[in-house]
Amino acid sequence: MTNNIDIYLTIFGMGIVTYLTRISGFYISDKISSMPPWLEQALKYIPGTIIVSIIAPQIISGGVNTMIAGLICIGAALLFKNLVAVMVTGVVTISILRNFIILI
Amino acid sequence: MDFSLQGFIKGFKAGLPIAFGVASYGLVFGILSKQAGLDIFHALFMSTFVFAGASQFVAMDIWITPLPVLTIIITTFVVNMRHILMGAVLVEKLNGLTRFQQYFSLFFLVDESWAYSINKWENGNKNGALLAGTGACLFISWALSTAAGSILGSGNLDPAKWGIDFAFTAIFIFLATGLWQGKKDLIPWVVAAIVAIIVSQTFPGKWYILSGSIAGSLTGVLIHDK
Repeated sequence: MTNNIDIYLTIFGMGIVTYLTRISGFYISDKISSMPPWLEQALKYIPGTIIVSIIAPQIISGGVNTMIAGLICIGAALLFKNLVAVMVTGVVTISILRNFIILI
Repeated sequence: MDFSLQGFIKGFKAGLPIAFGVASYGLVFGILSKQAGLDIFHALFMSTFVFAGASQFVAMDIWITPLPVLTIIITTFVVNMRHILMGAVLVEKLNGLTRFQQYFSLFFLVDESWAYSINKWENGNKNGALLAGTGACLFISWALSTAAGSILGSGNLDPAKWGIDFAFTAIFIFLATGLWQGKKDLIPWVVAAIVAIIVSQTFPGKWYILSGSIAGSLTGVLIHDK
């Protein structure tokens, strides 16, 4: 049995380093008074490219099912323009595909 | 940007649907933490003080006796490094808030609260309390479900069985379509996707998010802004 102090120390350390990751990017780019133009431009692409980087591996690793459900979600997003509607569409579609349709 | 209680509540409400997905994973985390030998106070302390799902799951994987304290802390940092990039783009968004409001909001930065707020702000929303409000909603959901899972202690829960894993993919797809600004995004996004896929299959952890987005963004600068 690990002693309590080690457990709390570990969790405390995890919390501190995690908060550091949350504030350091903000702190640094807040402090830099004149950012080089290329960096400023690059930051404008970050929101979209981060989200795409989160999604792409999830869709590919799930095979045909997630690819089909992903396409349907893109359609639903353009059609409904509503987060809950797209979420429900995604969950229902993937459940149907996984449970009732067996794809290779 | 303004920061008000009403704005915070609006953000909180917007987080509710996402909070359901978060809760199912919180339940799983609570169960795993119990099985790894943590009691409910440890688990709650972790979920409220760290509040970063992916890194907490990774920590449970390497939670052994004797406890590799430093390894777990360093691993947590590496898994959460993507936050650095996410925070860097928030400077202009949290402009006009007091320092306390800014650093309070940043505590609630998780993938989902960040993506949701950025999407809204890029589309003209002026609610500076969005990140804090949405994040606080997910925070409460994560904490309560962690406690519930720890009390439950065992059980074979698989969110994927109900398609809940894909709820997050669907949410991010929705948020991405709202950030699409036309053809100039095409090549950066494709590069980000390809790099993320390759890195996710060759490196463990969350490196793929950082590498994909950096590669995509630099490509954008090279082809459009030179």
